[in-house]
Amino acid sequence: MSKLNSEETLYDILRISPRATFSEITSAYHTAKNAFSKDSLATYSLMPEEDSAAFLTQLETAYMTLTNPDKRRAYDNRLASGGTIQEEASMTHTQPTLQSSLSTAPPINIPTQPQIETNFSDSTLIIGLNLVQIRESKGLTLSDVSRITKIPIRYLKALEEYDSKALPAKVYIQGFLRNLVQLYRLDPKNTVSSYMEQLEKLSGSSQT
Amino acid sequence: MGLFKRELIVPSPSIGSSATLNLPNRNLTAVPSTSKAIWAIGGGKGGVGKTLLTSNLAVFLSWLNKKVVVIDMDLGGANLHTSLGVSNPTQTLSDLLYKRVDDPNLLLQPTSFKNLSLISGAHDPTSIANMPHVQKTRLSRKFREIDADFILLDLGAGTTHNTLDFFLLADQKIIVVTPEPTSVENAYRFIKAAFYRMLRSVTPTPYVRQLIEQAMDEKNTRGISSPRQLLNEVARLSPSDGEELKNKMDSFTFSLIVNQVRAKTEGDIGKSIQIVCERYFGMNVDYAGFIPYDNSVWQSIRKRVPFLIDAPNSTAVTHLEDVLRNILKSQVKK
Repeated sequence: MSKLNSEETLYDILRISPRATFSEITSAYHTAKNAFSKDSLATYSLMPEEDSAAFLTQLETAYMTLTNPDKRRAYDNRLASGGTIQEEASMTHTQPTLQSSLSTAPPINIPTQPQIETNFSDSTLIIGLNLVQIRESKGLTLSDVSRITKIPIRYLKALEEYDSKALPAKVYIQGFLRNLVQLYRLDPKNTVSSYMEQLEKLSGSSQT
Repeated sequence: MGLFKRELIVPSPSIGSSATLNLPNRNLTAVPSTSKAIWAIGGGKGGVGKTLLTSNLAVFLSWLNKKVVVIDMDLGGANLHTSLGVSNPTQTLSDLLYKRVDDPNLLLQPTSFKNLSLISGAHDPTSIANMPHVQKTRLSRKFREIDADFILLDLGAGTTHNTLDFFLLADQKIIVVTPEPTSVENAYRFIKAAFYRMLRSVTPTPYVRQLIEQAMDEKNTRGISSPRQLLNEVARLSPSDGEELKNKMDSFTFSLIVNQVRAKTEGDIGKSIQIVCERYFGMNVDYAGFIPYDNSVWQSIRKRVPFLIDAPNSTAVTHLEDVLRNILKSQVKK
C-alpha cells in the first residue's frame, strides 16, 4: 500500500519477500526471465520489446545484487536507512517486529561472508573450485541445487568431492558444470576448464 | 434420458467424489455477500474451449453436490446446450430479456446431471448482442435470484461491452487461453478492455477518467504504457485518487486456465502470463493450471458428451480436477 509513490525495490522486481532465500531468488529470477525473454509468448502484443528488455536489465541487476551476500546486505542497509520503502522505514519505530524480522533475515545471518567471497574469486583459477564452499555461501543445500539444476544429488556430491570414479563421462560433467556456473554466477570462461584440469590432476594422482 | 444413464454419471472413484477433491465445503457456502457464486468464463478468442471447459467444470461441481446452473451468454452464438447433450432448449435467455418470463428459475432446462441445469442462450442474434445498460443490470439482478450454489456464465468471444460487463459482474473471473499467439493476443486485449472498463465505471473524478481515456489510447502522449504506470501517474497527481484506484485494481483478479497444451513446456506459459500481467497491470492473477490437448476430448465433443463422462481416465480430467481445486481455493481466499 505504501509503495504507491516510492521506487520499486529489487525484491519487488523479483516478486519475492525481503526475506527470500537464495533458492527462492534463483527460481523467481528464472521464471521471470523466461516470461519476459525475447521470444516469450507471454509478452506478445502486450509489451513493446523495449519495455521487456528494460525489465530484463532490472531483473539482472536484482538477481546479481541479491544473490551476492555482500551486495545484498549493503542494499538491505540502504533500504532500511534510506527508507526507499516506507514500510521498511516505519518498521524501525516498532522495535519488536524489527528485531524478529531481522533475526530471520538471511543476509544478517552470515557473519563469515567476506572471507568466503574473497576465497572463491582466486580459488576458481589456482587451487580448483571449492564447490561446497560456494554452494554453502549461497545458502543452498545439495537438494536445493539438485532441484534447480536437475542434476542428481549423487553427481553433485561427486562433483564437489572431485570423485571422478562416481562421475559420468566428461561431456556430462561439463554440462553439469555449466549449469552450476549459471546458478552460482561464476566466470563461465574459466570455471569449467579449471575444474576439469583439477579433476584430471586429482584422478591421475589417485591412480598412481 | 437417452444418451446418459444414471450409472454413467456416477463418478469413478478416482475423480469427482468430494472426498478425493478435498473440498473446503464450509467455506464454499460462505461466499461473500450472497450464498451463491457467479463464475464467468471468458477469454477473447473463439475456439479456445470456453464452452467445453464451462460445461465440464459445471458437471464436476454438480458431482460435489452443489446446485449448478450454467448460462450461455454467448449472445448470438449459443451452443452450450449442445456440449451438455441438451438438444432443443424450449426456453432461452431471450424470454427473460424480453420479459416474457420474470422468474429466471422458470427458464432452467434440466440436463442429464442431477444437480445441473442450463439456461440456454438466445438464438435471435443482433438485438440482444447490443443490450442497453438497464437491461444488463436487470439481468444480473435476475441471475442472483437463481436458486443455485454456482452460476457459470459461458461468455462469447470478443470484447463487446456486453461480454465485458458480464465478466466484470462475476465473483470469479476465469480466462481461458491456448498457447498460441493469436489466443494470447486476444486474451490480453480482453483483459485490457475489461480492466479499463472496470476502472472507468468506478472512478468518480473526471480528471482521473480523462487520464484513463488517455492511457487507453495507444498513442497516448503522457507516456503511460501500462495500467501500472497509470496508477503511478494518478498517485503522483492526486494521492487520494491513487489510493482509491489502487484498491480497485487490487480487487480485480482473475483465474487463468491454459487449454489445449500439447507440449509440457507450453504449460509454463500460464506462469509467464501470470507474471507479465502482474507486472503490466499490477493486478493479481491466479494461475489455475492447464489442460493437456487430448484426442479423447475431441471425440467427446463429437459425441456431445462432456469429456468428464466420456473419457474419465484421460489426462484432461485429472488436470481439470486440479484446475477446479485451484479456482475454488482462490475463491475461498477472497
